Amino acid sequence: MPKRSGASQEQEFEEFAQARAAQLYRSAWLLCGSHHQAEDLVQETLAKVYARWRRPFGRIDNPSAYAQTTLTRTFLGGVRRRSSGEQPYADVPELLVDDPAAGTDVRLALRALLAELPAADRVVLVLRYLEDLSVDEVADRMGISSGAVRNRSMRALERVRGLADDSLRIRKV
Amino acid sequence: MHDDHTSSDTRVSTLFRDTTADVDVDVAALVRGSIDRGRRKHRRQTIGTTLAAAVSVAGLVGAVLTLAPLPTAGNSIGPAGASTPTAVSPKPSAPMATKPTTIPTPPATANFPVRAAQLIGLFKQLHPGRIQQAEERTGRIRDDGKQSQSASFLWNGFETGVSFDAYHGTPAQRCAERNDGAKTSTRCVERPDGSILMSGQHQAPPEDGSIKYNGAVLITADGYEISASSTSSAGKEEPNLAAEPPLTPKQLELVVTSKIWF
Repeated sequence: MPKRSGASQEQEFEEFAQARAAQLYRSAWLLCGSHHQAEDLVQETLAKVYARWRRPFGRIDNPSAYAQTTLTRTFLGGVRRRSSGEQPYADVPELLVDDPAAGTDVRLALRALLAELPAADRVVLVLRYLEDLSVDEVADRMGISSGAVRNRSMRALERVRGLADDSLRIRKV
Repeated sequence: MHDDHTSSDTRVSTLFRDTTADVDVDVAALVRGSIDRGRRKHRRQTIGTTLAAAVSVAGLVGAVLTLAPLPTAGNSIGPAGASTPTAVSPKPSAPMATKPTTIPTPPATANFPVRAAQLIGLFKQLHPGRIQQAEERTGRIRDDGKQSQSASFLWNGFETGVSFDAYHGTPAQRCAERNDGAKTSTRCVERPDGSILMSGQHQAPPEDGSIKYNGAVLITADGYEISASSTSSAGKEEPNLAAEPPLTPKQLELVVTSKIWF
């Protein structure tokens, strides 16, 4: 395969990032619970993908999956660094009045509900029900067993189902 | 939708999608910011490869640093040093780097002889001086378990960093990886114990304050590298405090090869 120039690589990356940024942001918003942290997580994720993209032997077969995995692990890594004084992505802040992503009642309720879940449970829910991945795919992204994903999924779902029913009722009225 | 979803699960999917569908996303800003950050990461991994870990520790963000390797790295190394170091030409990356992957490689891990909390105290034994925490944004004593132990701080007012970082492969592979894509290769000096010593200097362009930066890295045969850095300012966006960083690459070589860490 001919070696791509830096400009070509950058253009390819930019096209990829433009296509994927919104979906990554939606996942990040559900994980982080705030616009600013979500934005930071997505930028950090895409920056890591970019750095990999530009490496001489860094060809990525499935950039979307790679980006999603990177986002997941960056988020969980932020949680693990909590004790080091780094700003953890999983710390859902108090409601910010100027958070442009906080809008509807349902959205606020979902954010509050997700904030009560362990970070890994949040990841499972987002990958399963927003990204529509299978249990095995979620396990792969998170680097844990399929059994662990099922357990977390069941536990977390119990918390969210009620809100799902309520939100649908609200919309039907 | 996957087969193992129930109708209730479908409602959860609908909830997630509906809730996030109309979230405003400034894609252009996200992409712009990502590329800016990505460039910095890329430069750290390539142009600034020799000193990347230390740059990260020092929080300098080596966005526009250029590499000027020392011609005789490793000839006067410290207590753990070699008497007759051998230059190793950087070779292409290890075969593992050429294999396409779909998921990130698991982070490297190693058994470090020290923890992040000890780094500043031990450094001070080697170079007594006034220690202050660097600015909050970059002032870190970071314990990432078996992946990394690092500290950045102000030493006599100059930003300084020490870190232990795990890596994949052999010292020679790591050396080649650090030089991969660099405009100028940094000499990898092999030592009798199998470790490799690298050191060099960077200087940011005038638009970034012309900050000078010295660093040294010891790539051990035990799967981790020891980095030390010294800069001519108190931080990335701070003015130069002196024409040169207070610690030379040679002095930093003595730091990374010191037995004090063990």
